[in-house]
Amino acid sequence: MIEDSLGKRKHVMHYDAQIIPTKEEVEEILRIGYSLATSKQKAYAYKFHVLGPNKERSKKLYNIAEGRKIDVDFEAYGTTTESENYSENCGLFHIISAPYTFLITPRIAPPNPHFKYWYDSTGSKWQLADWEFINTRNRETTGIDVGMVAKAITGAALDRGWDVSYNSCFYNDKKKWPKSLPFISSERGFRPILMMTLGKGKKYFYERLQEDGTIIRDPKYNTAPLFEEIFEFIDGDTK
Amino acid sequence: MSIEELFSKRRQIRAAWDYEKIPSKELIYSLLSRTLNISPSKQNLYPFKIHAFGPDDENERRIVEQICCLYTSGSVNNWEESPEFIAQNRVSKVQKDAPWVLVFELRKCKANTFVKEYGEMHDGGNAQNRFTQIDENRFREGANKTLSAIETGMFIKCLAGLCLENNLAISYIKSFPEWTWKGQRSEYSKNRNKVGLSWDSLPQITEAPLIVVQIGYKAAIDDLLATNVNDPSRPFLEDKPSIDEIVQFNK
Repeated sequence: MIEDSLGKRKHVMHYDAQIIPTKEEVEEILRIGYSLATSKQKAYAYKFHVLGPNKERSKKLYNIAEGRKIDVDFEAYGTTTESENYSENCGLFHIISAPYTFLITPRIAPPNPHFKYWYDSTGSKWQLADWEFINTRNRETTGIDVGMVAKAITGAALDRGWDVSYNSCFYNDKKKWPKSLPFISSERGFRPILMMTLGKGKKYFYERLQEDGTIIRDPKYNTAPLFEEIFEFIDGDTK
Repeated sequence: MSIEELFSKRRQIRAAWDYEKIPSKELIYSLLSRTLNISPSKQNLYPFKIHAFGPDDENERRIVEQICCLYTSGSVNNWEESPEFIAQNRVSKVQKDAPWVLVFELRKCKANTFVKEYGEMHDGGNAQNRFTQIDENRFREGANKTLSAIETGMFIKCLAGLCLENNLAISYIKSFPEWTWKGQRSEYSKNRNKVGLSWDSLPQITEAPLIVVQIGYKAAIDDLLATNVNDPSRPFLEDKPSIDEIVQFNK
């Protein structure tokens, strides 16, 4: 059942410009996803910045993602956009046509009453009120929480007939983000952890691989590693 | 059952695991295998590894339990279970030992076909220059660890859905000594555990641990250490922030 639901997710290449969810529909999906999410110490030390339909801004976001890819290729191979083998990453195209984009950043998260009492009474420091800690040393823990809430939102969206896609390729340098996104670019802004798009898919990434014959040539071209690479069952005591 | 109804059933089990009814290795294997089919990963590389300790691995599960104890008290822990604690809670046994314990750790990936071809297209096959997930010198760095954490979170959420469909409980633990990669020294800086054990006590773990997941059936008893998430009349209410603190709509 959940496999039927989450198994439906396909990475979007282009969203449909004619079929756009309303703000109310997006909010409902987010509320449901959030209600189903867990977080260490109930801190939910992340924030969803929800960007609605705006083609100009979406193109800027795409440029931030593609720009990062260009930087990485240059650092790794010395290639540039002028190089013969340069091509845009079509896995990022969903950002251009997405009606809704979620930029998920860390946030300063005060403790709830339980943890405030607990930390105060034991003389422990609540680190999630510390901007520096959140922006540098807590990104991994927040990343797990973000992954879980993103998947809950994915389920809520898919159940309502919408598509979502993810992106984690973008500039790490806040100065390269536009000033119109101050929650990132300002001095106390946070680098995003994940970018997520939502809308109605018109063309999917796998279809492109079908069109150019890649999947026919090699059905395992872009598939997950073998189960045994990821999982190790430990049999019996070592002692 | 809708996805809301399914995930709403989940409760963090802390002291109410069923010791009589144990999920089989075949069931856990099947759930993990099916999760891999519905969980996404950037470039399909899955930069994490899962060590599954089951009912036969009692020694290892004892060790993990003592690693996940940064403090002697607290709702997650209480691992020493002092006579005073037991008397205070009027119980003879605190059932906090799940039959299955999964330890997620960072993993250096192998290049898949796409990654290999990308490397060949740009630099004679040196794909590790481009993809940190497969680069021995960089896969432990912070950016890749965060990516691994996001994908681990997505994987766990999918696994939780499958567990709940099978009436299994699933709990998460992030209270353990962290490992942080120090690139200049080419070694992990390993936090020590002041009251319990450290990850070095478990030789299977060689890369940074990401999260510990417990799976089992819930016993038909009250969970003495259960979280109070919605009853303001009881002490220690662990309520969520309002959604308006988490979601900001921008024009």
